[in-house]
Amino acid sequence: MSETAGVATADERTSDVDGTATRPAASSRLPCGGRLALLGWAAIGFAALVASTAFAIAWAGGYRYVPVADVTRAIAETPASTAEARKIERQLAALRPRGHYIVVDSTQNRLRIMKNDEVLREAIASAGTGAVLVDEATGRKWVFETPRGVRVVQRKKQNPCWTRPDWDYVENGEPLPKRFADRIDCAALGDYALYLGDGYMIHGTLYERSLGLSVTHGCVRLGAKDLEAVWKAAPVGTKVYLY
Amino acid sequence: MRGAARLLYGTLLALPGIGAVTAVFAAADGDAGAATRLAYLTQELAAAKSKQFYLVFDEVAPAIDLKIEGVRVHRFALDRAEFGQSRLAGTGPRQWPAVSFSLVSEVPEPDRPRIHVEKADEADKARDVVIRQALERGEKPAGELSQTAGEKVAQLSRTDDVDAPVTFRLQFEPDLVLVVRGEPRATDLDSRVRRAKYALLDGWQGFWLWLSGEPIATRVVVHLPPEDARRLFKVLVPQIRLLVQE
Repeated sequence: MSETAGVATADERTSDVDGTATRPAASSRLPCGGRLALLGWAAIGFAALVASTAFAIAWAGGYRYVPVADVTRAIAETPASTAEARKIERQLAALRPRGHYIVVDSTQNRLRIMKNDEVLREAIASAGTGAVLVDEATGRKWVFETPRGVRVVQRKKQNPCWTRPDWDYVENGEPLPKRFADRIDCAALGDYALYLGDGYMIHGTLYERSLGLSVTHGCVRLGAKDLEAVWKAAPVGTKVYLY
Repeated sequence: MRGAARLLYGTLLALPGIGAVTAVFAAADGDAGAATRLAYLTQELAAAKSKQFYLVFDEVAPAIDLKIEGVRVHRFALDRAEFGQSRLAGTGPRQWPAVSFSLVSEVPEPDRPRIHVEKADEADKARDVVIRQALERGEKPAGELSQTAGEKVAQLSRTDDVDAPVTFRLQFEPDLVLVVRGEPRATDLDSRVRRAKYALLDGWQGFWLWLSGEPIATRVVVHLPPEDARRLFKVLVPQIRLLVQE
């Protein structure tokens, strides 16, 4: 800082109309360093203003949370009628299965025999791998996934035989058989099969070691005892919910 | 004495009036409740008739149910659920924007492992034939069947669960965002900074929507265990309905 810092010269003094000397101009009062400091503070102030505005905007535009139980439900515009509500409840009840039904959780590989929301039996199952098989020779492609949605037991068979489809040969690197009879395998499906349509079944397996894993080609496999329980509990027409 | 009697008579006379007012308010509440229930039932009937899966948000439990044809096939129990409304929406009553919502977020196709065709060894095949014959006869086989292609793939797909997200956002119409948080709230600096960043971005976006006169979606944040969050993600199908249970 110079010795004359802060001392205004006569030329730099500003004067009122009557010529009375007043305070010196700010520019002349502050040296270079002082001006920089002022600019710095101004910049900090501006940045703080911008930041606080940004935060205020973000806060205002943000969300205020309450537990969902405290929330009012949307009110219907149509006038309410208890009789109408009961009618709909009856319609809903009519859609639900009356007797046993089966629920297959293909993610967790579980099958449940149910009745009126009550779990009668839970079995460890195996559902589809979700994998893709491509036949390099023909370009044919199969996705081995257990279907999702609702199906019904279309028919049931004791001591079922399986007609090995093309993909089973492709997967095992075997040539396709020339005779249809060569495709028949009466051991693979276990003691019972419940047909769900489109080639999907609930059946037994020679590979009980894999129960609980997603290893099938879309069917639902069960162990022998659980399969027998399902066979007994699920007559033709039983609803099967797969998810 | 006379004053006390007057007070008693006055109270007795006022009681029916108070009762009538209470009854009117109760009836109004009942009407609103019945209307909401009817709206919910109407929507559930439509969803049940569609034979597609739908979700039901049970705010009392709290839980999200996976249903089809009116049958609950799975319940995702929630640790807690919070309802968020933009501060710019004012201080009025918190209300669900509708009873029924439809998912508009894209549901990604799962990654599918590809089965590699491996020709079985002739010795293994011969051994499998013997084992199968023993099993068919109901005898205990002297060994294990060879590993199937499905079993080999299952070893790969067991890791699939890890790929399913535990925290995700689902956009529904009309104007609802369901935020699924399947992990405990992390308290490390990185997580705090990340949350602050998202909060700021959300806030600015909300403010911008407000400025442009567009509606700001209501938000519901649900907290549940990570494995349940993954399973919830896996059961999603495009345009799945979400109903808010009466």
